[in-house]
Amino acid sequence: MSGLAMLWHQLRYDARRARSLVLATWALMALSAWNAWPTTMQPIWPAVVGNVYAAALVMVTALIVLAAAPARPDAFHGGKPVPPGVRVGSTLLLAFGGLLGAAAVLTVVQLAAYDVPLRDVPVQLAEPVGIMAAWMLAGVALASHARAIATVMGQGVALVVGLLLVNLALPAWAEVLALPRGWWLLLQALLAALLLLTTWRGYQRRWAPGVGTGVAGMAALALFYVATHGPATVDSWRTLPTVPGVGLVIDAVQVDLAQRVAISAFSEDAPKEDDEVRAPLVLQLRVTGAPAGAQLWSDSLQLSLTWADGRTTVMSLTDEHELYRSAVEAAEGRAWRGTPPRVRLAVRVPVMLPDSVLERLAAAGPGARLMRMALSGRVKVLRQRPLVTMPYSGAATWRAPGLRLVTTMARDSLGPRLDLASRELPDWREREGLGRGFDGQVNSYALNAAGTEAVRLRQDMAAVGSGLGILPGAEGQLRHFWLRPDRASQLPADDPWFAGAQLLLLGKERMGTAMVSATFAVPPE
Amino acid sequence: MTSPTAPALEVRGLTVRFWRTRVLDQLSLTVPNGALYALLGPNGTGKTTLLRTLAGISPVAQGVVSLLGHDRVRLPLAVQQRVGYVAEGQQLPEDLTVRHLERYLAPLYPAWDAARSAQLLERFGVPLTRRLGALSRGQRMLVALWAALAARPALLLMDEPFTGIDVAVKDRLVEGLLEVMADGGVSVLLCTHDLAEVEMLADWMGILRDGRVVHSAPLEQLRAQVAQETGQVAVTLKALYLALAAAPAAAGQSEAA
Repeated sequence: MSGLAMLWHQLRYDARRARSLVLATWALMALSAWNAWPTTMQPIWPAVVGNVYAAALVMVTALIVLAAAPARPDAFHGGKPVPPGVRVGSTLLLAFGGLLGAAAVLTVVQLAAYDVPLRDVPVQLAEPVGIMAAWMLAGVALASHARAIATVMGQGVALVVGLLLVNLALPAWAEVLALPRGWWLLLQALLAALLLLTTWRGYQRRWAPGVGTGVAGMAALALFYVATHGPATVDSWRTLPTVPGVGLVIDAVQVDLAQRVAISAFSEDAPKEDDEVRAPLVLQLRVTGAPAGAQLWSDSLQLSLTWADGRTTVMSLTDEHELYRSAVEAAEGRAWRGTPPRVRLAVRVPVMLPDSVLERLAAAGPGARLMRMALSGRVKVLRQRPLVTMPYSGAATWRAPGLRLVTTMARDSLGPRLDLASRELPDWREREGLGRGFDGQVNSYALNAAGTEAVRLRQDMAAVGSGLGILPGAEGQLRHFWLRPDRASQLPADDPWFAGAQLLLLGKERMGTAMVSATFAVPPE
Repeated sequence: MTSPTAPALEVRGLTVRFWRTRVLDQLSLTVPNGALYALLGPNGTGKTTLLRTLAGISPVAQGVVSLLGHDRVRLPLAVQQRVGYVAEGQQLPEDLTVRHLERYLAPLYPAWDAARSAQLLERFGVPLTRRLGALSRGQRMLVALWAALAARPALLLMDEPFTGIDVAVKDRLVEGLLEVMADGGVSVLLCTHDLAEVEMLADWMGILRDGRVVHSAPLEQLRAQVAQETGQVAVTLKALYLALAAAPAAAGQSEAA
């Protein structure tokens, strides 16, 4: 019997033994796909359900391993001539083909039901599949050293606690771990290799089952978590395009070094009221490519500050670009201690341009061209990634020839506000029968420079909730987020208003503070 | 594949530790080709650990283990397919029936003998279509022995196969073993406390004490040796075991290949 034939033989045997588990999981998936989820539910619940579902998937994977536990000395397979490689291969094929593969297929079907173009599906799937695969691989690795599911569950609890601790420590590490994308891909590859090695050692009956393995798995996943989430925080805004041309791109937001020293000095145990260093914290916002006369629309400018203890404060800047320490203290009710705050999130910058600039842009035509391109569907999702400072947020980069558009979405805004929108906007609707996630229309408005008139931009949105859907990820429910604006032909083609509209997608009066904003960079003609 | 001159099993200087405890301590043992070697010893002396190490369930940390002339550490698959292992309380895939199990096992063993399989199943009287999880302890042991014997092993490792099963099942186990032994080509290492079965089956015997084999020889040779030492005319197996278990280790060990 060749190795491949033996693998196939073993796979059929394992599948037969695990069929009840696999069938139950498939039923759960189908239920998840078609069971309606009320959009009025608080956003926390989808996340909770999604995490429970993810944990269940990991447990099922562990149970598949434990059905023929390699760590049990009395296991039936113990004395049988089946090489460890065949057994590992069979287990991984069953877990990843039968469970994760099935989930991916079902998610594709679900995405198709939401009219997501097939060419975009791989991008939509890549990240949740990767994350889920890492968790399932961790389940396999732990179970390969355990004799009972109780051990795996104990190690799982330790893992979750460990990740929480890592999450708390994350703000202190994120700057250090702001690695290039290639590096954190390498880290993920290392993690996968480590987990596979742990699994392999388990199937070879090396390493005793117990705490050591759990700690190794925990360390590996913590590494994974930090590697994938930490850098994304910083990287997501650092890598915002800085192409020259008309438009605004945030290049850097940082605490001035001298100010940092002053804050550190001030944050001694007993700050004095008359302390000289009670100077405003100046957040230096460098804007590149802005045409002369452009102004930041300051009350939409949001900053996310992550404190030394890991808490995050999102606030609007109201006084140009200066943020006074006293204001922050009032918001937080406490003083800074030790580490000064770090500015984490790229600023979303809806900008109003003066009429003179708009006229000039209209004359040149780039704004209208950009908007036509954006609205005619010639843009596509290039990549999506989570932003960790706002746990349920995401960012997507859209690309079309000659155009780059970055959209950020915050779920903790979108969740409840979409629900709000569903009540306020008359043309909001829910699609019956495909309850997970939502689809519908959200009206957004492009305002003129004076803010006296608006043009409606209708956006059809479909979101398949990964937090509660087939592939639960840690990224929240807006992974599969699809925007389909009105066709360009329905909009004025060369109206100079759209030169301004490119920088303001959503009308804040209707949606509260801007929840989806975009930064456009228009390439040189 | 298997050297005709090599013993079926040879162990030299095998040491196995669980944390700081030495379970097996420089153990050496040889099972000649075609022998049924009964390894006896008090509880906790390392019999199960030895069998698990030989079966590849526990790694060989120190020492040399040779099965059918091949090093245990790098045992070729083809040799592994000639080694059977049956243990007391061995886990079976409980959701399968004997028929399902046969469909799984047969392709794994090139020497699987369908005729012998059918013959053994008939002799053992095990229900073929009932889930293994629903079988009695004795029936499960019969299934484990059937699975090992139908594969026509050249070396069979058995760990306490007679413990906790009734006399009728024991008889069927013994008959099955004797039948296979009569066919020839198989060597057996049997760890047990059941002296009656040893009396019926074994032609070699060893005593394991404190992680070492302290006596090892053909059964009749040991019997003669003890008879000579004690002046008894007929030495029962029980008397033999008690005498050897209490006696100091044989000088240079009496085992022979």
